[in-house]
Amino acid sequence: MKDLNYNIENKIKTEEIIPADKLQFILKNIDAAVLLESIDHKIEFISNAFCKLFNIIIPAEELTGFDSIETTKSTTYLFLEPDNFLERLIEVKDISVPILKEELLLADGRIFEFDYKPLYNNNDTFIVGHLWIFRDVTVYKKLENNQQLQQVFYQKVLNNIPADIAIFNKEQKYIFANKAGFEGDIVREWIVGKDDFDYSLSKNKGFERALSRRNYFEQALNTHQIVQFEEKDINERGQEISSLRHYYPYISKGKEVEFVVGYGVNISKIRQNENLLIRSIETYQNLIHNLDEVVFIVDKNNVLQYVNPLWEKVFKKSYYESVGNSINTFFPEEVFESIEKDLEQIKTDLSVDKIKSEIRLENQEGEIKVYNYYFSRFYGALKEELMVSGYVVDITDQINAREELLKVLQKERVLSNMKTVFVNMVSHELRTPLAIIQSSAEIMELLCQQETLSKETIGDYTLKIVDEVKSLKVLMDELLLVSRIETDKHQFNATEIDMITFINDIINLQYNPWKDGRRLSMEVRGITRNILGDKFMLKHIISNILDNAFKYSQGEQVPMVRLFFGQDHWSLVCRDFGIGIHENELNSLGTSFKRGSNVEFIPGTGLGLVVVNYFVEKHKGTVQYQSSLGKGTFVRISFPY
Amino acid sequence: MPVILVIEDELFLRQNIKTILELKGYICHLASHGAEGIDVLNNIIPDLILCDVMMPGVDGFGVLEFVKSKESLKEIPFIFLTARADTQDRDKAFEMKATDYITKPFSIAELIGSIEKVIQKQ
Repeated sequence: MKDLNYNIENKIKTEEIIPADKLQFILKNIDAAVLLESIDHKIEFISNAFCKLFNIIIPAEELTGFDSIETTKSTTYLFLEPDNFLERLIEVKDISVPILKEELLLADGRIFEFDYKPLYNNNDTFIVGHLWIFRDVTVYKKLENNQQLQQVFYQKVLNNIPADIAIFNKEQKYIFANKAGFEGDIVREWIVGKDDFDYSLSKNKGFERALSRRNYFEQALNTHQIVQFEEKDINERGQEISSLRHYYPYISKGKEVEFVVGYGVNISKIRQNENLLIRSIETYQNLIHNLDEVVFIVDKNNVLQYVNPLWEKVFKKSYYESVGNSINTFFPEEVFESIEKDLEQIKTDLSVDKIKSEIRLENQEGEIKVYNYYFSRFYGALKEELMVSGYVVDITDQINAREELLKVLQKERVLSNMKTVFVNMVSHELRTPLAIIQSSAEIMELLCQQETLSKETIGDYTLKIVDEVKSLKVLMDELLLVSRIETDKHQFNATEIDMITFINDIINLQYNPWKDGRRLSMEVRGITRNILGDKFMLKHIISNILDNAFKYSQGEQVPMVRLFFGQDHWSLVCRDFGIGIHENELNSLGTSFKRGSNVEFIPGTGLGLVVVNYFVEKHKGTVQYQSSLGKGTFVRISFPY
Repeated sequence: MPVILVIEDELFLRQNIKTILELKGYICHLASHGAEGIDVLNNIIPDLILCDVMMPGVDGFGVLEFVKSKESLKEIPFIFLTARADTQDRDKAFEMKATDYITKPFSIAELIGSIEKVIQKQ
């Protein structure tokens, strides 16, 4: 437009050189809408293009000399605000200052632009006219608007993308940064024309980040390839933020880098998930490594692909010695036959998910261990190949515990049976004396009624009754003692005892003579000394042993008793020549309610030795039995001083 | 007079039962254990057997089994006189066709009542 103005000025000055008619012709047909008016508003020149632009139907050459204001008025309907348009034209002429590209909006949506230039006389001293040039710029303006709209649109898109995006020039200065990259419009505007070093400086941060980015940026510049790298940061909540950043060099047609697009994506969640996955894999690995069972994996050809550390303990081969080898080399031949069969089944029989079985293997210490093994089928993640996972669990302890439990149960059962036997026996032992007492009393009553009861008869039956009451008392005492022992209520009262006198007193009272007339005497060996013990308990122990010796040797020679005083212990040995005890019953001697199978008529409760064992134990002593069926029994009790 | 075989291992009780039965007009044979009782049965056929259960060697059930197995003896009334009071033994006794089951201690009336139920004094 400047050029055009210049030309017009020149035209006026060069009028004399170019013939006026020729000049007129050129101007009329010029593409611009030109209007030249005199100071008194007379049209001096108007181009055809002007008439066309303002829909003036009168040909341009006929309009010369017309009043320019009137002519313009006839065109105001074309404008969006006709009055304003006219006022503005008058105002422009009044001010007479050159104007360039002033915009006018037309009623039909078009946009015109006009230039105004006041025309001066040759001396430039006063205004002689006004020059107007109008242009229809609708197309350009729309294009420009579109461009602006597009720019806004793309900025909006870029600002709302959940990734930080920036555009750099070749010097790594920011040309653009979106909202995700820098928060706040002020910062975003500020950063334009600056680089990461400026940014770090403004934030009082070190240049490590900027330097690292510079390296990647130069790599992208030099290689013309997209460069990808990861950055870690800590956010205001102290969480680690990971971003995957890229520098994308935009290459122009001249194969030069025009600018570089940088963008970063927040991959914290991906990293978190990866970390979780890694941790869960580590957890599983730890779990498998620390399992109390052997874990292994074989492929479809039974070749080991994995073994856990426990494998080595059981199969005596390390991971490296095992993986890659066929599993059958690790099991004894006789065991592998069934394992191979199970492996084949788990691989081929899809109706079975798990196969379980039991094997016995020798461990490194040479012990035989019992193992449960089970197989499961799965498909490898990568090649989808059929695999079998195997688990071997040492159940030796379980088996032992089971056997132990069975033993305990068996013992319980035996005990329960024995208690039933005992109750029956006690019942018998109680009921029989009572029957004798009752029948004796009733016989006396019957005889009395018949008046045949003599004093002698009364004496006989009274003696029977008294005897039975005595035996009932013994039974009651023994039961009470057992009950006290079972509840551990019996107190140990130690006193100093002269054992020779103590035992002789017992012998003289009960066994000199015994009921059957046999007389007992005791032999003493060693250096005599007093001992510490519980008199009640020791009396019970000695009486019981001597009772048994006499009871089970009726009609045989008198038992032998020897008291011995040693260096650090004393002992009493009693040997009888009676019925003896069956060899396999010796171990159960002293078990509650248990009596020898050969006792037959000999009365007893099966409680005597239970009490003896308990009292000996209280003295920290020991009891030993030796016996031969039909030949007699040897009992030795020994006590420390 | 009816003859009764008494099989009882306890001496005093055995003697007392004999006295009672004789006072009540019965003839009494004694045995101190099961095997001895069977021996007696090989020689005499009593009108009634009074037998203990718990005895060394052949017990009361063993004696009953022997009696029931002998054509000549199986109809003889068989009364148990026992210290075993539990129902299992009682049930077993009646299953084996014992006539009665008396538990110790017992009264004379109880004993004689049970005997008189099955035999009439001549």
